[in-house]
Amino acid sequence: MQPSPLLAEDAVVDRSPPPSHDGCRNPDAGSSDGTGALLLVLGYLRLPELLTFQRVSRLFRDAVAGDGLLWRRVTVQRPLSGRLTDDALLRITSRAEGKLESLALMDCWKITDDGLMQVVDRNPSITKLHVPGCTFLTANGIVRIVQRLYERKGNMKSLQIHVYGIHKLIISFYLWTTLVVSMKTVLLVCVQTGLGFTLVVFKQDPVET
Amino acid sequence: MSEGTKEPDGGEEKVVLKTHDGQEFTVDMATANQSGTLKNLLSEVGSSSNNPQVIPLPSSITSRVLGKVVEYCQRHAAGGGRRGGMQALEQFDEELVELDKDMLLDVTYAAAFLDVPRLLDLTSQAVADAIKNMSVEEVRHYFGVVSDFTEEEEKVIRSECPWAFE
Repeated sequence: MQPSPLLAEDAVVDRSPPPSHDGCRNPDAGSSDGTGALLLVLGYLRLPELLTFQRVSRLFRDAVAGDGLLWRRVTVQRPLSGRLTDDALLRITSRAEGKLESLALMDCWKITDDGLMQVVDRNPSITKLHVPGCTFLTANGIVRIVQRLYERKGNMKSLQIHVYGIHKLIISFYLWTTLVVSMKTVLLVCVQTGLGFTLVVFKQDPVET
Repeated sequence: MSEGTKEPDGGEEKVVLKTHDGQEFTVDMATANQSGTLKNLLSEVGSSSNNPQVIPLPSSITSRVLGKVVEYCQRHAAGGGRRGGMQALEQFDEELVELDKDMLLDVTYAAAFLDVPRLLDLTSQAVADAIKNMSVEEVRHYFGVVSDFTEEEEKVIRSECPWAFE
């Protein structure tokens, strides 16, 4: 009995994070050179490794470039944070082909309201936007972005931003009320951190409207 | 691994996994069912203790690799209820994937082939952790590949996201 025929197609399903294999593996390949495992681990890589993979070889480059799923959740952390410009962000997020779901920019202090708005405009299905430590962003900019998503029938579920100081907290009162309206059912949590306040906003119930 | 090669005891259903290098692993059904692939297969053909089904495996799954997979499946078939609960199980998982590079890649591959999702999750994460912060050259070395880019392609690639490689 040969088990192989039934294996190639459905060998790996139902796991998260979203895997990137789609039946293109050869059951008898892989052991010798390690590239058989390549496609399996792609879904586990962080942004820096994905970018590195693009420079490894044609196979690696094509595997990464050919899988839009890999780019639907983007997290930029140190040490890349400080180097990320609006333009670079736009290029990276364009790989999701308009289907970006989650964007987490940690301490990306070069990112501007306009830069983020461009990304959101091209990816209206964003449900999670975390921008703690993105000090160039303004509260008003965030409000505009959330409103824009609302107008475009977006379904934002989770938003995290930092709010600095008293002055910003007054602005953020406006921000809060706008968010409550724009996101409908929301749960607001204000968390004090070493850097100031992190406003954590969850959409409590992803009700279809 | 040693448990997997024991003789079947009692009338419990068993199945024999045969590697390309000729080793046989006799496992009980609860262990085999940890693998989606074997579960599917056995639901169609069945197996018994007197006449256990022999399932040949592809050459990429050596006996050493299969030993690891069987070890995982046996432990998880027993579940968290035995041997110190979930915490012990988690520790077992952690220690299981402390493997050298080649073994890790091979077990990853075997976990995919045999459809053992949680093991695949463990090993894939371990690979991802291992290559964290590696340079391009280090990744090539890790996976045993060489650059096959033309000069032209190399130029294009270097122009992409140069900020990430400063």
